[in-house]
Amino acid sequence: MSASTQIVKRKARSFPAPSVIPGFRATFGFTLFYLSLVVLFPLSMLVIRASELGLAGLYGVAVEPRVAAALRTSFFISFAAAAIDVVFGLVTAWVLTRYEFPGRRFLDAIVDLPFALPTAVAGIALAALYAPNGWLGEPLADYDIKIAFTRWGILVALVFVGLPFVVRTVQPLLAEIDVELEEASATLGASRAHTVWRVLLPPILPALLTGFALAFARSVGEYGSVIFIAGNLAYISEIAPLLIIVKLEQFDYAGATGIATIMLAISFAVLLAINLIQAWSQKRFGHV
Amino acid sequence: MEIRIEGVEKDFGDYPALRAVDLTIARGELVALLGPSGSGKTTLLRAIAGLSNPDRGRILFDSEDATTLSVQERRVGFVFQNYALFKHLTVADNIAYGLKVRPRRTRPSRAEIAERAARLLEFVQLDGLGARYPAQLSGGQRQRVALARALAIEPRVLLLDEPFGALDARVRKDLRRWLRDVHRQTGLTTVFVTHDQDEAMELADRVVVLDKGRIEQIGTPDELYDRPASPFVLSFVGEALALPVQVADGKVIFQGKELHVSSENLRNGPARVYFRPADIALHGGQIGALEGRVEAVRRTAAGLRASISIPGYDQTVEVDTDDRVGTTLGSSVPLSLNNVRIFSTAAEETLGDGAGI
Repeated sequence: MSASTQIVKRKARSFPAPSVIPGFRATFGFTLFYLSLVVLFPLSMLVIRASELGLAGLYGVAVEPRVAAALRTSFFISFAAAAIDVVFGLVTAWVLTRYEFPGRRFLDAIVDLPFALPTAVAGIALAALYAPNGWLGEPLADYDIKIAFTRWGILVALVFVGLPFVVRTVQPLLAEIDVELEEASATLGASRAHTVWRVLLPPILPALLTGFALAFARSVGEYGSVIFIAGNLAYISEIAPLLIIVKLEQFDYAGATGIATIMLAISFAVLLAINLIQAWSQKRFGHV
Repeated sequence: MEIRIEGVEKDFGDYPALRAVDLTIARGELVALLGPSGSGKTTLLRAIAGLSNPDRGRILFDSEDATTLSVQERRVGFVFQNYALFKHLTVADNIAYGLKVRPRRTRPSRAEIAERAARLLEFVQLDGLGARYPAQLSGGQRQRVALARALAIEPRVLLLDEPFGALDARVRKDLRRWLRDVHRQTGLTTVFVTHDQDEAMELADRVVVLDKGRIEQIGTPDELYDRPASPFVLSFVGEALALPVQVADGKVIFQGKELHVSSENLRNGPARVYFRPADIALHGGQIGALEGRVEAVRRTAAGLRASISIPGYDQTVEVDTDDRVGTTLGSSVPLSLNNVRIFSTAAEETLGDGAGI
């Protein structure tokens, strides 16, 4: 009797809750160790470096007009690019999962190219395409539209690198949606648009948000593909990562780490916000 | 509403899924489409609903040609085998879905929608579960939600695709009885698809037996049991045994001996004699044309059950008897057949009824 209550007590105190499936301690320890080594440790170095500036110094870096402009450029355009990717990515994923057509697998493979390509290659290719004498740049120039070496160029490059994130996160969920759901919606009198809005989109909303977050995060940190097409004019088309390089080249290490820390903070805040929205949408729409 | 199907055909590539289907379903009737998988029964149901279009032929709702109507315009209540409930909506929202999607002109007020959803929940005996999500319900409950959702739009016909297919046996039985009640209370013309002949026989006013995209027979359960139109119907509806025989000049020959069954209108050549397991019996008298060997005898509550092998026939038949002496192991026993039906193997069409040996 007393022995059994003791066991119960010990079970109640033990962390984690005892399970017949072993391996929590080992995997949890490994995760902590690796996360620390690979992510937290380097990032803490960054914060320590920046702390030499102090909060006032950090603020000083942030309000420097050129830095503020670059941060705005980076975050706003990344946000816009991720938003565009959500739309295109969803349509692409839809086509790839829902329809059988010749060349489907080929198209499916192409989606991953922005992942695989060295970003500089993408940047050079895009710059050549959109340059005033390029295949697309030349006809567009006739309408007075300039893409390369403007902010639009940055947007084009970021849309390019972010696309696979949305497609690949949404695809498995789309594949899971039963066609019968759409048919049921139709027999109940719903129009096609209504079916898409009320039946198809809600279950994939969490995945869309994840895709958005990934594309956004990637875009904020993107460097290689952007610098070739952006033109890099200070105050106009200069992205924050480029400015860090510029500062480093001028041996302004404090300024460089300052910008980096500010980027880190903003990125973290945005991703956290997206994660919270996602948790909410999971609770709202994720009943499986 | 009356459903009239005229010469409907549908091909899936080279495979003819429906061939020359003619069928009229009367107003308020409860009809089962029965057949093995691949027989075209679900295809036919989906064609009625407008979820797939027939390649040829037309479907009429009363006198209106429904073939040209879209799924939405047909206003049919369709219940899917796997329920197809919207997982992200509550039970009440699922039921109200068909009302909420209506254009503003015809959409009932919010309060009215809520009230109708509540009434339907009560109707399907799920009152109080409106706030739950489908994932929190059992299979039988989900099926009832699916039915309530289909009824919410006040459908002109109710179509059910294997409505009880995914449920366990006990729930099936309950839901069957319940569906009968629903049909009686709503008076809706109802068509359901099943591969389970018991289900079809128990529920339906009339059963349509399909095989390989063709209608094999349309009839009441009695007609299907007592006057099956083809060997397929005979063996699909209930158990049947078949003896391979030869027909020659009006005589039916099995293993070189004549079976005394009527063979009117039978063509010469190979044929089969079909009978139900209950229609074979030990024959008290002398050895007749058909005899078997007693392979095993078991005691049952009522008497004895003997397994008997018939020379020239590869299955043993089970015969109930109370004759302990006549059924010693290994002995030869005379057998009699009642209610046999003979079908020519070549043409597979009904040709003669037999009245016994």
